[in-house]
Amino acid sequence: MEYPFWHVPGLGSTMLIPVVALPHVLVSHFAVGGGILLWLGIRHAHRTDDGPFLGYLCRLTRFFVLVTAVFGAITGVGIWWTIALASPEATSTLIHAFVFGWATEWVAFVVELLAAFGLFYLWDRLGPPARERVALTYAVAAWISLVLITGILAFMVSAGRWVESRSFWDGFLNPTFLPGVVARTGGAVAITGLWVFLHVTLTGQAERVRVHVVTWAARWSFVGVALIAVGGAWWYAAAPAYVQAKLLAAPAVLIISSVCIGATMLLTAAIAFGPFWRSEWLVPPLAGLLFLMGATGMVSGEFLREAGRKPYTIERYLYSNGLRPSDVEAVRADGFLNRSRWARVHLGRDVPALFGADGRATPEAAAGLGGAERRQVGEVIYEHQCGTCHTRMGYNALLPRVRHASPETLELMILRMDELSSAMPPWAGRPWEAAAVVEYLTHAAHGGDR
Amino acid sequence: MSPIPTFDALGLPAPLWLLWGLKVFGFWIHLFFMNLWFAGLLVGLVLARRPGPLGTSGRKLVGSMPIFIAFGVNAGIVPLLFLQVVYPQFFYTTTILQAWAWLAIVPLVLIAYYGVYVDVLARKAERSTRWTSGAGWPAALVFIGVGIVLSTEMQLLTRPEQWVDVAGATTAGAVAGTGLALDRAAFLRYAMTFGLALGTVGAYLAFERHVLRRAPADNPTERDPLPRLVVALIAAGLAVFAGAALPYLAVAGPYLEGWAWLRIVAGAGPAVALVGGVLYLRRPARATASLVLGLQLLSLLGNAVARQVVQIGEIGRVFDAASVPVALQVSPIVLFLVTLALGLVVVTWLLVTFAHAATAKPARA
Repeated sequence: MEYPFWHVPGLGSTMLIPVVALPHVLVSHFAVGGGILLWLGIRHAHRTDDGPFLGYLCRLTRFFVLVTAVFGAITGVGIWWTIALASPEATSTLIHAFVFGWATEWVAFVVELLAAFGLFYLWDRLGPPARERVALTYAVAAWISLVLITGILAFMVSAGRWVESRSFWDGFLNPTFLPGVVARTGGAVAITGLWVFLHVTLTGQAERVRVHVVTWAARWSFVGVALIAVGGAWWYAAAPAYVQAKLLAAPAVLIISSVCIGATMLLTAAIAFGPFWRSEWLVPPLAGLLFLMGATGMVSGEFLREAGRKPYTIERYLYSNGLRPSDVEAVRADGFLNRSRWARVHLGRDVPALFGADGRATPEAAAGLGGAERRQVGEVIYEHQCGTCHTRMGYNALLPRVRHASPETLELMILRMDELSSAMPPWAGRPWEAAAVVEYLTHAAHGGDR
Repeated sequence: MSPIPTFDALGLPAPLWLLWGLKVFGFWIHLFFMNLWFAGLLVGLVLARRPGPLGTSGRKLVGSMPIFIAFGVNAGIVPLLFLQVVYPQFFYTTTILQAWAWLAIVPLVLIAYYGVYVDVLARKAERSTRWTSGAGWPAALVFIGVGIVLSTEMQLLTRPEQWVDVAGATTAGAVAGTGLALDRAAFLRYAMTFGLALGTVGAYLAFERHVLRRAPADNPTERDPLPRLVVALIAAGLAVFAGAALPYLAVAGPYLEGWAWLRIVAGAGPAVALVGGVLYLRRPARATASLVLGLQLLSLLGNAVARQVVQIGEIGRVFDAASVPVALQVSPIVLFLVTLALGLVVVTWLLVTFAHAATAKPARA
């Protein structure tokens, strides 16, 4: 309500978030899982004096640093910039509620980065004890990052007592925080293990190294996937009721996620422990398929989390369209256009006749406008209240859905949208503003340009 | 109605002095590393083509670039974080108005960063081809180019009177995000930073040669060209800085009234660094190389503080941050400070470990 709205044609500004976030989620989990597996692997190789395995880990480390320190770090900033553009109110809340959480995470990331560079540049020169300690430092710092970020992400789904207390700890230690940490730690280890399958089959390792690495990675992947299953079930049980209901109402994504995780668990168990498994069966296409399945499981899990929390961006505190539940009654009484700062900035310039001498938009002034101007008013309200999630004709498009609705039905749907769908926020505005939106939508749905 | 949104309902989580202090501290660190890639990548690539000690210094500079970029980007998060805490309504609004240019920084920096890696790793493996060794050049241009978007953003957020015009062409009351408020003040800020960056690169080259690498002169009978280059870079930086700072004073000067010491430190800092450079030229050694870098860091600190004072003054025309209620987050602040202290211990330990390892002989993989 306070900020300008950024219009991204066809996609919507909020859909830019997953475009940046999904690759980052994979890579950032990679960074954490890579840290843990590299430390475990280095330790094992030193204990068993396994030079070829250590050589392989050296190669893997270089890959990890190139992916995580560059792509992970830059896309991490990219997510932050994208959410601030698409949802400034939510970003501002996350910053003001948790600024010292973010700052603490920054310290962990500096340590992680430095340790990673040490392994990358000085692998050959670090003695075994120092190499192990540096790898452990990397693993711990990366995992602390995961814990801190998980607390803040989980807060958006289940804000817990924070909504009343505004206490940092009530927000951070929210109901889905711990299950989130378990699931994400598992996801990090699993996705790294699955990547190792692909990496080892593509890099032409000697047979002995390949067999050893595959079995080793499979065991840890299995542990990771098991943690995802445990953490996921716990997360579901801890999630607010409205989130649980929403997940059950999205069976397709839930099924995809469950099938991917279940199949990955079975296959990794077969590779790690199965008596009939032969390591030469793990050829690049199969390894690629396994990685794809694991990645799909993770990505669909993120989609479930995002979809589950609608209509909120932050549970009970902020709706997806930037309105606060606590403001809705006041906006209904006063009118959306008398409250929405940038909608007024635009209409004050384009349709000045809407505003009286006291600067307020009134139904009488709206009634005196021409049809095109009234539709423009409706379009502005539509963009600011609905445009966050709905494009006109692109992703999650609204115009095709309203094409067959009569104006009366459409108006009723708008005024009571939160009662018709649990994913929709309540209408915030006066009835004449809803009528302007209906006029615009009806006209646009039948091919009118305004 | 004013286009400036109201402040976040949660208020400030800490006193302003702490938030501004952390912001300036982060910006100072960022400024140092950012300077090294901003002007340093270009300087390093030019030098790396030359034979002799200048070529060696250039190759070392380019070779360290991935680390500078990583820590520079990382340190850049700090001032942006605290900027969002103190001035969210200014920062978010102006990034939305210039959304596409602002967002483009992310893929551009990503591509440039990988370009640097391609160049550096190919040099390290001595497998440079025309393509791999060429990858650093477009990366250098990208880093120089994205700086103007950042300068523009930092300038626009202090100019709410321009916002409605920058919003420009709109789509039904929404912002297209295609604006870019390139104006004289933004270019002057950009040029001042580039001037500082040239000085930082010069000071770093001296420090790298005499303190980090401890390299003796290649041929003691020949005159070492590096000190002359160092002084030339610092002098060129001073010229660019002064050329931009003098007209910029018309914009920023009123906000620095009553900050005489800061005007001196920020304005004269690059000149004092040049004095250090001349001392280094007369006697190239570890002490003088450290001195010139120390003076340059002081100059950067002065400029970081001056930037903050000017920003407070410019935004203070329309918004008084001191009027925002503070909802003090004591235990999270303690958590951060304790983690920071522990982090510094771990970072020190890691650096010592790496320093020992760097002098050790390579072991088996």
